[in-house]
Amino acid sequence: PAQSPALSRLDGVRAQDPCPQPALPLLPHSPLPLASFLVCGPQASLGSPGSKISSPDTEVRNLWTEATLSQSKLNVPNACEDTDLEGSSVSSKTPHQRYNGKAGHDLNSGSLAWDDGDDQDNFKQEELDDHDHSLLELELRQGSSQGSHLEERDVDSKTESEISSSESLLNISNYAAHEAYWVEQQNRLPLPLMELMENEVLEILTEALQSEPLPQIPQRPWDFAGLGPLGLWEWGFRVCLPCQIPLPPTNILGAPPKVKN
Amino acid sequence: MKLKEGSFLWYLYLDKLYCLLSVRNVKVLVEYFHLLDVHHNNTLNDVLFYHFLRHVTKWNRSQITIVFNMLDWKAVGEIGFDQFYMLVCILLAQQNHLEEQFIFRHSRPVFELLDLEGQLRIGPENFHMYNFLFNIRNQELRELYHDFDITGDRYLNYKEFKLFTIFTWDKYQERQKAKKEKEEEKRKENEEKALFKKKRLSQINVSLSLI
Repeated sequence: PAQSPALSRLDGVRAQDPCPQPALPLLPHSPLPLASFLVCGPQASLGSPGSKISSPDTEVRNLWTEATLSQSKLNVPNACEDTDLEGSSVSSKTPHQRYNGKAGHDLNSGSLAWDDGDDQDNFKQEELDDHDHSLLELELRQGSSQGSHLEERDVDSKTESEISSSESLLNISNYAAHEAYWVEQQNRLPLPLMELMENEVLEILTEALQSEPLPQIPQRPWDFAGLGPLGLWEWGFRVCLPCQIPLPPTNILGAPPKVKN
Repeated sequence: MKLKEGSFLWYLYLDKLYCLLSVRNVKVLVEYFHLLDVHHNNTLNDVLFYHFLRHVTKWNRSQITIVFNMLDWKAVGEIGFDQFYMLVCILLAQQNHLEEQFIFRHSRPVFELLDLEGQLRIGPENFHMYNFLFNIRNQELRELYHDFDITGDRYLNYKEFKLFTIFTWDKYQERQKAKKEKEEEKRKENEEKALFKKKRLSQINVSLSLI
């Protein structure tokens, strides 16, 4: 398969380097670095895959995750303690609260304590480094030639960020207390099940496409101009308006729009 | 109701205690939902919903329509991932015979689903309509309204419904306990029988060796 320009550039860097540096760990069947799959909480995984790629800096949680990954001595399990799997505590805390609660004792040298004025410079430096790292990740993810900010940068900065991120990943994986959590996060669907999922969806969509047309259904009192309660569709399985799939007739009368307080 | 064996949902694991899917399973379900969402609206319309349920369950058209109307609160003709997730959890709870536990654990969302008109109360006809979803039998339904309709208006408000869920949960636990005890007794009986057979065999062997 054709390799993305960013990846090939990275390979070129590795080839020129006399001392091969540890690269970002890659998943077996994915070109993305493992770091990009590390999320801290169920909410991060619920968004659509495209949204994260298109605007990685707008999502505060993503920023936090990427920032913390570049901390070489980060105590990750503590940082993730408040993100239980049911999401109850996650929803009740903002990222800012998380920083306030954890920065004083969990993160090294208090460099991420936003409320401390003395640490502002440290934090800015960290932020810049993290920004470099996130740019590298972004380029790896996108795999396209657009916005190649890293071309002008020094090769060493790339390898340094690689080392720091891989070190932090090693620290993460060595921590036994949350091993199950990370395994749960990093594991991908087994390939046979992925194939099954795709085949099943294909069957369902084919059935939907092959369903038969139906005769005209009388208009309902609340149906304005035969366009349905909201002017878009009619009740019952009659026709899929967006894709114009006709469907078998139904004897179920439509229901009026429901009103919930 | 049984899910179609070998279908994708059949492989998902519902936590027996909390009646929820794990993070990994939810991630996988999101992928499945996005594959089904051919229009990329982050929703499923009634057509896709119908064919999806026809594919994975044995429900008939009217049942599917009832479920769709139940999930489609705003009557926009589409359901989002939240509703889809709820539906999958209900299906898996049915599959694993955890209906009582599911109602108990998620009493508030279930109450809101059953409260079709948004009047903050559920009538017996709503219960009757959804008895195929939550395995509520007619006899239980009569008892439910006889015992738990404290206000006497033939409707259950949330507090009364919550009491009902606690009661059914207790009954479910008692049933499980009795089942376990029965299995234990059966196991002991089988063990005793096996021991007795072994003894008989050894006696026969001894007697044969003497001859």
